[in-house]
Amino acid sequence: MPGVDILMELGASNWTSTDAAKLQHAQQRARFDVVGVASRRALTGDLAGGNAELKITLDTCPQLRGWAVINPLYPERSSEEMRRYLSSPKWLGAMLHPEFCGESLASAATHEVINAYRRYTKPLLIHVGNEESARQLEDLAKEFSTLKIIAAGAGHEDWQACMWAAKRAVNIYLEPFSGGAHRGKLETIFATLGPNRVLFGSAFPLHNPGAALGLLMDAKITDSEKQAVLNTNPVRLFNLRGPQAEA
Amino acid sequence: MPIIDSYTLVGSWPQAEVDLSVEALAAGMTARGVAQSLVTYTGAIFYNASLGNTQVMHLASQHQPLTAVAVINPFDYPACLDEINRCLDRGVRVFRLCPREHGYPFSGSVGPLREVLRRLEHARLLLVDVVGLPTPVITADIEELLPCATAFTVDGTELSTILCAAKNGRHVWVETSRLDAGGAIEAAVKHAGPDRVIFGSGSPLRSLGSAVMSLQYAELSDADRLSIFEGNVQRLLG
Repeated sequence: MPGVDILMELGASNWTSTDAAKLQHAQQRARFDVVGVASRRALTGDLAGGNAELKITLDTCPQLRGWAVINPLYPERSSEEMRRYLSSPKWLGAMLHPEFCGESLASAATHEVINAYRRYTKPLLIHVGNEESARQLEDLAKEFSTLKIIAAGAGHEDWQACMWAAKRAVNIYLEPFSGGAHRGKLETIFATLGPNRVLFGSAFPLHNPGAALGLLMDAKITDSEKQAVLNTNPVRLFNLRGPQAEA
Repeated sequence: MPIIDSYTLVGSWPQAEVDLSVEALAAGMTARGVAQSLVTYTGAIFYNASLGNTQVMHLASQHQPLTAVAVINPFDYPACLDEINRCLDRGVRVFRLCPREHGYPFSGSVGPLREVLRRLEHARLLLVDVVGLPTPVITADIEELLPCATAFTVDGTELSTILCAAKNGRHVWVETSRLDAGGAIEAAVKHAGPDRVIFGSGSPLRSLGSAVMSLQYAELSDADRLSIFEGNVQRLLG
């Protein structure tokens, strides 16, 4: 299925792990043209080591793009990581995972690091795992109204709260595929938000890519809406020339 | 590839507005090539086991591809023992226990649960969804009490506990509906064995396509995939 998977992860998860070869295998098997990748090592604390490891992987795989992980608890290091990577088109933007770093989206430290990120004018990917994070995301999106923020997981079980946050803050994009296989979720999100702010992410190896693909394939939305999720929306958001050309 | 889905629901869902009608289930089955579904009536979980079980037996008698799964609540003791007998007398051979919804640990220390398991000796298959239960999701003393093949629904974080139980208990099986973590299905097959993993979807509450494609994407041999999709449950149900 051609298009863009905005989020896979490099490194070990509970039951499997990925390296450059496994990420490429997953990308080719699902026939994605472009895949965004974040480092699990960076997400779990080692920002510099994880992001550097990811850079080596990106340099060997033309279809992969990076998310530079930042952490509000390490503001200086985060600024350094942004400076090091984000001017390159190989990097889609920065990623924040509040559950991993234990810092809420409402904290002063989070606001400070996002404030520093604004000048890169790239989308910010934030993992949103529950209703509280969804509410905080809405406040954040309204405060940084020029920043495009992608909610990875889109609230998981609390996906409706995240959807309503995105309805009220138009700079929020949703990636609901890695947040569970709730039947009817995509249809409700499309009916509420329209087709332009939904993106596809598998979160492999944290999740089996088949789970996300099956959710999309079985959704009762039109083929052009599916195409928007996989292709049109990410191409526009990340200024890709078109996945085929990028690859 | 024909599919037997061991985890489906009909009725209504109190926590979300989802179409759990027989028609929705049947449409999904047709679209994804599911030949048979083991179905639980949600009213038997959330309202009254006996009324809900009667409802699902009626549905199964009307719809050929559906097999009734009766819900037993050990906290309805001693009435739950009569309910087991009633369902067995009416030909039901698959039962579901709901420790999360009915509020008990899946442990041999729960007296009514021990009684229920003893009484289920003529069942062919027992289904238990332990996703979200406090850790440990089952206790080690339960393995020897299981009366027949017992398929546990677990997610990637709870899988380790069940795989350890499967190593020691010959009746411990794994059901796939919540194994959407990368590599989890492969781990279940590797450690529990391909003959003790069965396919389930949780549909129509959850996406059937997501469950089917998770298994299709798992790095397994075609023979193992076929066993999980169909052969293992078929063997159990006879």
